[in-house]
Amino acid sequence: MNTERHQRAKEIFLAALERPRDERTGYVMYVAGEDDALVSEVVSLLAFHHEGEEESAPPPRELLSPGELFAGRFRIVRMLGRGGMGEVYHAHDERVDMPVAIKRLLRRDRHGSGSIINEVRLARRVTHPFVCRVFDLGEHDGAPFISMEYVDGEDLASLLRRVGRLPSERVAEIGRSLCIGLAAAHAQGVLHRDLKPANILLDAAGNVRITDFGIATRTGANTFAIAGTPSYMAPEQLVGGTVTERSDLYALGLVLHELLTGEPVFRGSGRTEVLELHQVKRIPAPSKTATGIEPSLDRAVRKALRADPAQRFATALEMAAALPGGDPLAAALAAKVTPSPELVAQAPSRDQSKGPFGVGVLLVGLVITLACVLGLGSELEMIPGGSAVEHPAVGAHRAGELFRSLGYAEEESAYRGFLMQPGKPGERSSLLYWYREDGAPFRSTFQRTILDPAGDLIVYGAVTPPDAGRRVAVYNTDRNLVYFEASGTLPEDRPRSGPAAGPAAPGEPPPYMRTLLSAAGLDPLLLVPADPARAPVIADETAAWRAPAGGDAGGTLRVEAAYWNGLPTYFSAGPEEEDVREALQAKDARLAPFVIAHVLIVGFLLSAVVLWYRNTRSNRSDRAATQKLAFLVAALALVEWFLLIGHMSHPLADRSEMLWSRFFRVPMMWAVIMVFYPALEPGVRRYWPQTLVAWMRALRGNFRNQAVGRSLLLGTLVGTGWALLYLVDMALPSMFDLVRTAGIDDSPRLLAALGITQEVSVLLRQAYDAIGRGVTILFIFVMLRQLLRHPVIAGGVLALVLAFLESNTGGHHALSILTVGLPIGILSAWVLAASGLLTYVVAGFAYCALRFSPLTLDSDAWFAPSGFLAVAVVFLIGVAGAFLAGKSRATIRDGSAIE
Amino acid sequence: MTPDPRKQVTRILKELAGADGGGNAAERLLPLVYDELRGLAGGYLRHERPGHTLQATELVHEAFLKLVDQTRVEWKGRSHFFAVSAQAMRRILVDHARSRVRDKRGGGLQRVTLHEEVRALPGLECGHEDLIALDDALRELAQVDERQAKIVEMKCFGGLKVKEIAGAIDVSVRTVEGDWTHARAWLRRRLSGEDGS
Repeated sequence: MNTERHQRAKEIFLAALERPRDERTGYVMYVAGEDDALVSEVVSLLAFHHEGEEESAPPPRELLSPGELFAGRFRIVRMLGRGGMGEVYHAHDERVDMPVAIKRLLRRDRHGSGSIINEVRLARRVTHPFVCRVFDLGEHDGAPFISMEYVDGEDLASLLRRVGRLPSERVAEIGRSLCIGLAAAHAQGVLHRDLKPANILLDAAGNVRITDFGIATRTGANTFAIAGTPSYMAPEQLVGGTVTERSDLYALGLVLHELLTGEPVFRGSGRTEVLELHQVKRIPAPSKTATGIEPSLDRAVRKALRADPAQRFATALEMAAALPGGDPLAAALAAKVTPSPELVAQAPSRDQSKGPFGVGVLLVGLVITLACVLGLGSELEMIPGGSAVEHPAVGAHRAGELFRSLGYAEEESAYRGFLMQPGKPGERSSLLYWYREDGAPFRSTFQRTILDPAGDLIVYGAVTPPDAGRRVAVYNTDRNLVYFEASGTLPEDRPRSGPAAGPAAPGEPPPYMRTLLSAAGLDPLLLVPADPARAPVIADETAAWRAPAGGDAGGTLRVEAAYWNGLPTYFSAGPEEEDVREALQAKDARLAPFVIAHVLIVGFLLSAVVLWYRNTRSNRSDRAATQKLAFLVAALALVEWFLLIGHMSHPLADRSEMLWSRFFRVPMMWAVIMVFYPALEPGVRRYWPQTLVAWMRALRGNFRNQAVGRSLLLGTLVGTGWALLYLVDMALPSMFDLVRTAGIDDSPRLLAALGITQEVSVLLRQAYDAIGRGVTILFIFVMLRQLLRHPVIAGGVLALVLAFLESNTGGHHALSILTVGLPIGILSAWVLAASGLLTYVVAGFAYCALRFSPLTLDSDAWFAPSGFLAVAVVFLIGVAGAFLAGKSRATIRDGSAIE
Repeated sequence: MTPDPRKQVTRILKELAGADGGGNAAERLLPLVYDELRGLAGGYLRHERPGHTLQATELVHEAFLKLVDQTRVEWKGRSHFFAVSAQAMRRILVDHARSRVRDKRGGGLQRVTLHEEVRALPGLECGHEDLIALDDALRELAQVDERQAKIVEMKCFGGLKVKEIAGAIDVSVRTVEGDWTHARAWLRRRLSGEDGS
């Protein structure tokens, strides 16, 4: 066929197509006339044209009709819609008697059934009220189908067709719900990838349901296939790039934009067409086309629709927070996902608006409470004896003199301190002053000679015991020596000799005893000889007497002494039934609580390590804050160690304690935070993020806001209140004749009394203890809440536990659990629940700072500065809190800065 | 040093859109586009993406987005690009199909989808033989009506819209529509093996 004939045939063919179908052949014959070849050419072309038209028409679908029983189980009610892949019916599941939606694919092709299996698998991973539930997968007549939750309502596409556009508030509400639903899906690693109005249902109550996970994928899955609805796809999805959570948020932005304006942002049939629109069209802000849109909603939609994924919201929760009226923490809880630390720090705090008490009221309350604490502390003599207690330097001088007069050389390293000797039941504990000098390294004190069976002389014991060279003197508040010991000091220049003068007369104390007896304030003439029971075995000579005790109490004292290598090595004067040395050594003899505590600690440690491992692996932990906190705590411990370098905690303590065991606390505290914080904090953030708002802000250096300010102020007030409770409890036994209990740990206060340096070290210790305790107790609270499923009951249980602990360590009488334990326990639970972790930590610090400082109003007392320092620190924290809270309110009023 | 193909392609397209029609610009454009398309199609041709259908027109669009600075090229230059791309795509697919048929090797590309309107033609959704047959038919058509064959090529292998084809070859839209409708029927007949002439 040549070119002209081809053109001619084409002309006639096209002209024929202009006519009705049954006239075409006649027309061709009329035009082509006698040219049979041309006629048959065109007629055959027309035939092929018609055939093509018929084939390209969609094949008729055999739809299910209402009342029909599908797959022997589902009674069809009506068809809900049909899409590219199949139809959706409302049906009644006759087996379980429940309405369901059935989605059925008509054609059985590999691609289609793969997609429906994918939909079931991924949708089932997500269980959330805002996500349409998928029940099961089935196959009937060769066509796969799924049954899913029937939602009695309509999809957003048909709603939009009906009402045009939605008001701003409704869009914000729908947007928040969609964010929560998406967050739940994303938390399970599921990307929806096809969010559009037609896939979002509103049920009869107006709640959203995200449906159609037909093309959803796992996060990070490597898919080549570009799938989705082009008009609702993010640019990176359109070009086949990496699809992330941010792509779903882009689609959500498009949906919200459409809900606000009533018009889809992009209208295009194919991927490439939409892609071109993306490149030429700038998306207008919703407020450009519609009015009455809340500015923050407008901003959020624009941010979601940024072309660069990095500039969009990072997570669905972040977007929820940006929508008007969105509480990101409530959204996180609703979506059952862990909010990021940043999100928590940015969340609005609950007491942002004016709390039950204004800043001024709280500050006045703090001043009054502090004054009461200071006054009551002074009245109660937190250091027994009050200002009558001798300055430690004077005591040191006296003890030094005693050592010299006994023949001991002066040593450079000298330590001093106070001890509390627990009183007999019903009595207050009494204060003991101790002084200690450590000699230079020297020869073994345990040199022994033994004759072995062969008759050879063996000398062994070349070991220097840890207490070698130590000499200790302990005085009571009447400045009488109650205890003296010198361990193995053996000055080389002294001759080895027996007792210098020996007993002067039977029953009478030897001469060297006179110095010690007069230091102890005892009359040698009143001594009655007894059998030594307490003096050390290694001695050249030991002696014991009984003496009437002085003072009002009466009774007998047991006096014992030992003499070795020409020097007195031991002396004690105490009640018959009480061994001073044992009292000094018995730190905690009760075994059961010790064992229980350690079993608990080990169990807690092990579970913490497991949690730490899980949280770190799943990247849930807050690394930045952990490192900051660990550094802070380690720094506090380091400074504490440095301040206490010249200090010995106990007269009989090992010398190594001073440097190593105390220094060991620095890396240990660091390690504890590095493990425990990532172990515990994510759980709290997951289930009760509201308690962490102010805490997270403070940890991120954001102090200038009301949440942090109020936490500091309220914390100091609550802590001071606890200190007041503690002091009242201390006063109760003498007021109401209650039996006073012993075993109260006053040692930090006795340390703090020694001077400002020691006071500062105690404050540092209380600070990092408060942090560790706060995090742990909050975690326990959260666990209780999850376990008991009722916040008030959980708070009650926590209060009881804390009451028990508090009355055990801080109580002064049998009923302390009622007077101090329960109030502090209940207040703790309340503070944690109502104001959060930061407040609780500050309260814990303020409480211990005051409780463990020698508070007194008597400025003549030499330890008064320590007490004043503690009060000043607590007060200043409160004032700083008031300043921060007041300041941030002022800036909000100015409108220059909003939290 | 080879200059940035994107800049080169954009410059050539501007020349083509110019008053003189750009001289031999079209000949210089073909190898650049061919290379790019060859690269894009490579994964499919080497059967690295099993189960995925090569979508010819999608690939051409992807090449366009990669090679052309759209802020500097007008729609006419765009049409020229697609016209050349369609030619390149046809060569790539047909060469591949011919080599596969010749070697009788397994593997490789199994299915090709041309422009969706071409689906109305029998057997064009898959198979090397179909592609070769289409190529032969187009050669035959070109002998009697080169313009019509060109239109089919642009439609099938480049996914150009009627308006774009009209712009690229400087004829009316109506003419393109007519040529396309007729060519479809002609091809159907030709490919069904009932060629009466």
